[in-house]
Amino acid sequence: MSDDIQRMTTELARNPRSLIFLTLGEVLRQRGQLTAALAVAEAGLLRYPSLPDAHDLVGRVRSDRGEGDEAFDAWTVALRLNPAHAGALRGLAFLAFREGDLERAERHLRAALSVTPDDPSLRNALQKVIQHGGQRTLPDRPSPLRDREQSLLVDGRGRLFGGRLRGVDGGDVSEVVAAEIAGVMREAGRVTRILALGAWRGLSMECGGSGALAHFAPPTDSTVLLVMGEPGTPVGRLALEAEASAASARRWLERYQ
Amino acid sequence: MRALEPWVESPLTEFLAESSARLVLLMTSSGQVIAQHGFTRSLDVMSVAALGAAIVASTGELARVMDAGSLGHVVHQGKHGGVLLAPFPLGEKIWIGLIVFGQDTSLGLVQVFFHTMAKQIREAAPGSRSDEQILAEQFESELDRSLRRLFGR
Amino acid sequence: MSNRYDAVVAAITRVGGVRSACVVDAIDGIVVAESSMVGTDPAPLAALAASLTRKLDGLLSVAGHGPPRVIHLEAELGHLMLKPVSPELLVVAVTDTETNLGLLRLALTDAAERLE
Repeated sequence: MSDDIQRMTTELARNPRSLIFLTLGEVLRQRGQLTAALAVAEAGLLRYPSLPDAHDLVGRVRSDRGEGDEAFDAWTVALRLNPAHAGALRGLAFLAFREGDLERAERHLRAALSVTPDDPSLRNALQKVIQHGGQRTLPDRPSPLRDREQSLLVDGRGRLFGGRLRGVDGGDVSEVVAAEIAGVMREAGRVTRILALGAWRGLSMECGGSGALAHFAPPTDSTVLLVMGEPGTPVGRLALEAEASAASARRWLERYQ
Repeated sequence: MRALEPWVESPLTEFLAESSARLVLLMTSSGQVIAQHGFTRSLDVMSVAALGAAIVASTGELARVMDAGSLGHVVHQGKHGGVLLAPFPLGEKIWIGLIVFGQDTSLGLVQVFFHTMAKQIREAAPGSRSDEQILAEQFESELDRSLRRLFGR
Repeated sequence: MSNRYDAVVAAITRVGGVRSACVVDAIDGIVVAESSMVGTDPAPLAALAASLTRKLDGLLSVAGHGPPRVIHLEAELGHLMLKPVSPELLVVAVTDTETNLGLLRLALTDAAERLE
């Protein structure tokens, strides 16, 4: 352990509220000690959940660990807490660049440069993005539902964002079901509003005839996800699967909407 | 939707959105039309208002004769929908809602949101209104006057 | 006749956390029988439960499925569970967040069987 790390670890042990965790986490990250860096960052975040720099540190460590979705979440939170956080803007630019979304990367970098105009690394990054500008067309956006079969992501107006659904006869019923889902979504919202049940979190049902299961989950206020399960699928398991798909869809929506 | 009283508009708009009613007539028990939605001809409104007020009056009389207190709402259910005639108190007066609805909604929904609308109208009504008493002999002229205003004539 | 319905809703309310239980006319969306905590109006519950069932029925129908057998709506402050008995009748319950959903489901299924 280097002297610096030793010194900072000792200080943090003596005073767990010290902000030294930000420096310690970053040093560990730069040395490639990502597990230790993450432990330090998350412990700091527990003490300072409203500190944008703590979320930024988690974002950097997560990104180095190849956990893009989690990094995206961390940087998004940092930006919510401080919309002019240059580190978070840089991080999001990096993720966008890695996905080939050059327009978005450029936008984030320009925003970061407006905060710290003299940062040479940001200028270099922006130059690199602009150089790639010849290939400005966006790659195909990944599906919001990844490879989940028999699921649909729809907004409140019945627009289909992703997924595919086959009917009992095997035909594609995605569009017609999407149109019906919009009405279901409105009705679920109305039920919980008028019965004073708060926001709705999920709706599950067993289908007559086929015995299949259906679960609806709202990834955001304006979208709903439908996941179908084979007959005999435990209701709780389908709900968990739907929650996981909803989390993935939520990240997708935050990026592309 | 057209309304003689501006403070009726918001509750009625919400009711229409929530209940999916096709036709709505709000009137006083003497047949004075306060608001309407869905009617295209003044003649329809005139007939419907007169008949609706008469049905509510005769139902009230039936309740009195039978010593049955109030009979509440009057509902007619048909193959393709129904008609709800619903009196409700507003200050010293009784107002009547006449609602025609189709199969895309239900009697229960229409009733639930009608109650909400009636409550909102009571809350929105100017507190110190001194509505002139509409005497029986004024019925026709009141009806004509309100129809002219509702249909912009 | 009404005793039968009353007995059914009374059985549902014996499940802990149930605030309101109703037998509902699924076509008109009105209450057939109910047992509710003081201050809980069963009329909106009946109307909305019937409407939600109708919407879900429509959705399943375009995908080639039959009508829903059990519906469970989970919300921040409670649950709504309903079980269609026939195209004309539903049994419905609204609960708090702590209710044992398995027991509630069994109670609704039992209620539906008694009304069939």
